[in-house]
Amino acid sequence: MRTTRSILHEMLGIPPRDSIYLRLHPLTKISVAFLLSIALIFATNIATVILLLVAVTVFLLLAKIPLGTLQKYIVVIISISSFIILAIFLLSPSPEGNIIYKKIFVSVKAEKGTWEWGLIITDKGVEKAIIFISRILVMVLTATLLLGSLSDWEVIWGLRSLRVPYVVSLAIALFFRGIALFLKDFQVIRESMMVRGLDIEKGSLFLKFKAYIYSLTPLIVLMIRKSQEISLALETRGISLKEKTSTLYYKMSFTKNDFLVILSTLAILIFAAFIGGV
Amino acid sequence: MHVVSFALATAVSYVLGVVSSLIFPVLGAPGVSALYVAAAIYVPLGIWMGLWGALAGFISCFFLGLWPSGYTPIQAFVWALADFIEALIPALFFKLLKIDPDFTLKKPKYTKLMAVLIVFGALLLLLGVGVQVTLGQAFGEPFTTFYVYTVYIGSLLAALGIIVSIFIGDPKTWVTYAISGILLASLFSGLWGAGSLTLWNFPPPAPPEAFYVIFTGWVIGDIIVLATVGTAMLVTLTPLIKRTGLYVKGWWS
Repeated sequence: MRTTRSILHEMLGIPPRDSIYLRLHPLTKISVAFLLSIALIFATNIATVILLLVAVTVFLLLAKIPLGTLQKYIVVIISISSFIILAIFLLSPSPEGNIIYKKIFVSVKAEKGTWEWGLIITDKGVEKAIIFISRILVMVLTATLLLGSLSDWEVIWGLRSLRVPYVVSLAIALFFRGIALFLKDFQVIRESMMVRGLDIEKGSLFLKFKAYIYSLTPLIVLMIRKSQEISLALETRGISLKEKTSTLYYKMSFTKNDFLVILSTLAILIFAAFIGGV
Repeated sequence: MHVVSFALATAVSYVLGVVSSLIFPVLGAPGVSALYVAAAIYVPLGIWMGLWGALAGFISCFFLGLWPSGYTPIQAFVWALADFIEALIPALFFKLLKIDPDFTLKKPKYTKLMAVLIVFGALLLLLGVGVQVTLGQAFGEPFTTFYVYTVYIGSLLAALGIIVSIFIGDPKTWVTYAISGILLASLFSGLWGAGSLTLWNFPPPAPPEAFYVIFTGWVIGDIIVLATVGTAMLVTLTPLIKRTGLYVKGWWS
């Protein structure tokens, strides 16, 4: 088995440590994330959410994905949690449950009664906010587990082993390579702008937006040039996109661990559906 | 060549999507940007490359949903259809009406006027409809009067924007782009995108109360980007795309 860098390792530069989970079949890792995603549908009460939080944390520990990876998600979690709280307590037209706190900011006398807008905190609202925020945590942890344990190479390999058409695998492989290429190109374009006297770092938001727009045309021109180069390279190597190749350079088989992990995740899914009230 | 361009265009859209959702985020809706510049890539791609462009929007948005937004694969899949719709609508109009896109400018100043009129028109329309749906139906006056005025003025401004687009260059191309590529694409993608974040998904990551805030941010942001950056991209790059053979006359190459 060749050593690979996970997608999060490529993007954030944080390498995962070797673990049993990382050595699992790519399809197992995709299945775990997929089954946990289905289980999240049943997360309608606090008990189910706690179950899923525990389950996904166990998988993360098993995969030995560094906690540093989660730092990048903190802004996402904080922003969406604040928004959820504001939306539930400020934008709900008719809050359910017993009122804990009420403060009216605006009151307008209208044709069919008085419209009031303000902060209304109810016990049901608090419970709803907790469930939504915990679900966000499960979501983020599931995405981290998938991207932190799976490499782009494994995605392609998984698709090939599922007998997905060659052209699809090639397109996805090119997509992953393209991300790294264009991140570098984007950086080069920004630096060349700065060399020409455009101070993007210290500039206003409007300047950042303008600079961002200016970088689009060269980026697309580079994309067109790269497409031509890669197409020619594929042709010169005799790789035809209509080819029905069945060649696989690497072979991986399902082990006992794979079955164990899939069965455990299935059990979690069934249990979540049971306590989630389905 | 189209498969390669599609894969690379998807990568560019993803990179731009990540950057724009980090620089101009809509608070509380990860992956949603108040100025989602990636739309200015895949919407023109839909016009140039047909379904390849729509797929580029879909796949880039799917991966954006996974990282840095943190949605589960199923949630990201449902949510990403918004960007597929956004690129598909102008492609559908251009292909069904058999319009050969010619974005040559005859009166460049009119593009700015078109953008301003469409953006403000759409903003007033959304504001009016929002007030009517949330307040007007339940409380009546003065909200219904506000709704009537904003909808009338908004529609008038948006219609003026479309009329102005006739004078920019080839009338067929510009009117079709103004209607399908700017207004309808933003509206339908906003409906699906905000809906899949708050109302229908497995499960929706945000509460239903947030629908209108996310929807308005999404639609207005996309209209601004498509009316300004998208237009600039189409004007600059359409001749190059046609010259390099990337242009797709039908749905696929």
